[in-house]
Amino acid sequence: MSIYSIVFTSILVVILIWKTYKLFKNKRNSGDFEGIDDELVIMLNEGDSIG
Amino acid sequence: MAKQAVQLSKKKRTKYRFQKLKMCKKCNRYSVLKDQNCSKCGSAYVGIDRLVKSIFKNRLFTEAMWILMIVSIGIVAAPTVQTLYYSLVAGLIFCISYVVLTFVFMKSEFFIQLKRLLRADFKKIQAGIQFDSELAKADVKEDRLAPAYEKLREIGDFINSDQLKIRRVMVLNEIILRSDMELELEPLIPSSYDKDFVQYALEVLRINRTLITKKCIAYFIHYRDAIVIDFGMDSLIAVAGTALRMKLYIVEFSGFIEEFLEYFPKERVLRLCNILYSNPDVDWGGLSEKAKQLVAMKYHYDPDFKRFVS
Repeated sequence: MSIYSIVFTSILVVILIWKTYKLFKNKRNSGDFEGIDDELVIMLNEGDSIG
Repeated sequence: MAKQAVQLSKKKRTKYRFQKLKMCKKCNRYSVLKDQNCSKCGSAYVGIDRLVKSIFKNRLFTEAMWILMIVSIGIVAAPTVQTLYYSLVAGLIFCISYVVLTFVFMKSEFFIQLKRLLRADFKKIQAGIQFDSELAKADVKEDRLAPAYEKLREIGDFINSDQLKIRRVMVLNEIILRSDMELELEPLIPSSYDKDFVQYALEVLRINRTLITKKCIAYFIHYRDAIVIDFGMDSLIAVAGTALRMKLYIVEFSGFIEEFLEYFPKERVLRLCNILYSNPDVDWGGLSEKAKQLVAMKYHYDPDFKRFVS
């Protein structure tokens, strides 16, 4: 296998590992949709400006 | 002023509240109302789900372009035919793995995208709801009470301020309420005493007493002095009578019920006696004794109360 092939494969593998890491990180940080609802309502009610 | 007879449409229901959010891409404005078209420019709203999906698709497309570019450069720059074939196979395997990974994590990626959008557009969402609120105000001014209330009801899913609750109650007090209307009471309870709310609650009590919940009864007890001044003792008697609806409420508000027991109509007393009689193990406090005294004094001759008279 030539140096070129090794470098090219390494680049692709690094991209895949980086992508997998990002996806897992996002999955770990993602909660449930009820949580989004609650967060949205809390944010909107801060300061009670709308009435 | 005479109350208006109106027809209120059913509330739009979604699994999650954020699903009610939609955006006019032309005005770049969010709305939570039921309208399908923007009230400013008339163009169709785009639901938040569709908006997130389109952002997500764009992101995927950009990523796909980058990947194709990298793989193509790798193939084109191959020094020999053998490495060219190798790069082609490696690039293909990489693309397939990338697509599979993206599909496996699709749900969490959608979720993250939605969260990012809501956080980034939070000020816009707030401004959009404020605009919706202004539309409701304009409806009230022009005496279009049903559309005004429907708007305020949708906004009420997101905003819990007393100001909004009172505005909803004030509109409802101008409408002839009917039992077929989808009325709400508990979400409208303000954090302090409000005469309009009590007026509305008493009207609701007359129409659909199942809406009088524990929180509502507690509100009446907490502000009883002000309520007696504004609406008289009868209002408290009616609420105490409603507390007989559930065994749980009787236990919780036994002291309050006891105070007004003698003013209850016969069927309420009979209901209370039935509950007390069928649950002898429950600690009813002084209520049980007071009910016995009342029956002995007022209903001892009544055949309906025969089994309660010892």
